[in-house]
Amino acid sequence: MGGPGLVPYLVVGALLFGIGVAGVLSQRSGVMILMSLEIILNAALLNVVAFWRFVAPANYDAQVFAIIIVTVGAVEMAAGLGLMLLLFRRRGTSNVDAVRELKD
Amino acid sequence: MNAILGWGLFLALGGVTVWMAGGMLITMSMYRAGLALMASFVALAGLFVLLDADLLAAIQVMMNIGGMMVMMLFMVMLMIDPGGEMMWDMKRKMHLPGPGALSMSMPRHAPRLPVSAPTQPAKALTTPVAAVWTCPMHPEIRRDGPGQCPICSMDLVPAEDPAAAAATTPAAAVWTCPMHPEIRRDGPGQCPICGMDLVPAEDTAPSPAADMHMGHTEGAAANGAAHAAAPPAGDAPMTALNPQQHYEMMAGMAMSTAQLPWAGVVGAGSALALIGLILTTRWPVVTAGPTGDTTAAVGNLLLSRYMIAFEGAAFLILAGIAGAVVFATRLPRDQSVAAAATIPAPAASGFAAPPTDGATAPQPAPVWTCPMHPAIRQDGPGQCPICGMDLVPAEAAAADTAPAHAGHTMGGRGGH
Repeated sequence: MGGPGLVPYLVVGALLFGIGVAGVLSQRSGVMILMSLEIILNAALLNVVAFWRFVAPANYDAQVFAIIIVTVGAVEMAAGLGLMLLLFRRRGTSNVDAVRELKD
Repeated sequence: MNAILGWGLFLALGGVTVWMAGGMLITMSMYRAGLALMASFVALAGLFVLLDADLLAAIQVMMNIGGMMVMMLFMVMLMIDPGGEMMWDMKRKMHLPGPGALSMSMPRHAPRLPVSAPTQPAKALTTPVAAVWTCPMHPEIRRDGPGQCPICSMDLVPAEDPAAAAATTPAAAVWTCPMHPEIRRDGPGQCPICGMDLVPAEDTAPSPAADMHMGHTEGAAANGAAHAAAPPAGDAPMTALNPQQHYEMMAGMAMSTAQLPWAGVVGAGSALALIGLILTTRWPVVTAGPTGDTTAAVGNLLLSRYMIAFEGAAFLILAGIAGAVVFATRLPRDQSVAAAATIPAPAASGFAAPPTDGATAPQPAPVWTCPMHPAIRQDGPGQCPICGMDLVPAEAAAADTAPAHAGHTMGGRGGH
């Protein structure tokens, strides 16, 4: 079985992580920050799956862990979007810089 | 042959994953950003298939694509310009450089104003007793001495100085939206249609189609014909922008902060550091692949041991969405007005006024209407039942009895 080994997958994961960090630091909209967080989660996910495949392929707990990461991403998306929707309804913006305090 | 195919697939899928994730950050609209993130998700699922994790690939596609679909629904519901068409049109009309699909970049510095630049230091010397200094961009920042704005690091200007006030609001009695010239207000703020920051209008004379302006005590009737009679956004306000207006518009439309280059440096640095660590570490790689039916094994493990975790996750998702809906709809009316006033549009002369004055000023309008739907008329502030925008006072009754109330020069907060 040829093809790329562990290191190329980890490199892709590192690139995804860097892009996600840049997005979290630079974006104005809270929704875009959540989406950048999803990219960071994807990087972690790719690392977990790549390590499972090339280091411990007989232990399926790693895949369950990866599925939990996907679930965490979905929960983050739902709860974060709920927060953003609430913020938008109250403040008229989803721009995080416009919100100095959470309580009215 | 098998190795070449594997490398080809890996490079294609990995390239799409990274490229789409990066494109998400620089595209101009959130809708396109969502689509790019979706493409990144799907390509990542392809990488999972390459890694013999088929079940995980299926779950990745189902959960994340479903979540992204919900998010796109949010965007279409909430945003005025979800597809970025308006911004694209603006970029084309203003002849901005760069590909049309890319977001506007946040300008680093406010433009230097040639008129006020020489007078401002002289003013500061002759009147060193300026008690309060404020930021040209953030009037809520008030300090008792010169310095830099803690938000944007711009130099503070004397708040009471009329020259400084003129510098930040260049001779503007009327503020208008770059995209919607029918919006005319007597102070800076945000366009009720597209949410952009208002810019000073060149002509102070009210246009015939000024029926739409909401902040005036002398406003004409905000009837149904006002919206229909509004002229289309022409090229005139686009090409006649001075540097200050241009800055305000770019700052209003950019999707990222001015710190984007630094964020890029931090992101690239962390990625490079990680790659360096990855390349220099000796990983305990085994040659054996997964044996047997991976999907069935993972599924059995999931169902037998970990199902409670997913029940909890599903409950969290439900609680998040339900909580947002419940809290959003139960918001009392007075509270929503106070919340809307916490992002105030500072009046043209409002730098001298205490900020709490405008935030708590009652709005004595008998009838409130929606800027987009004039048919909605209520006897108090609230939100439009059609589009969810905040209602504005309608001046239909006041226009006949009290014309020419000098709402411009007084810069009255009460209208907003």
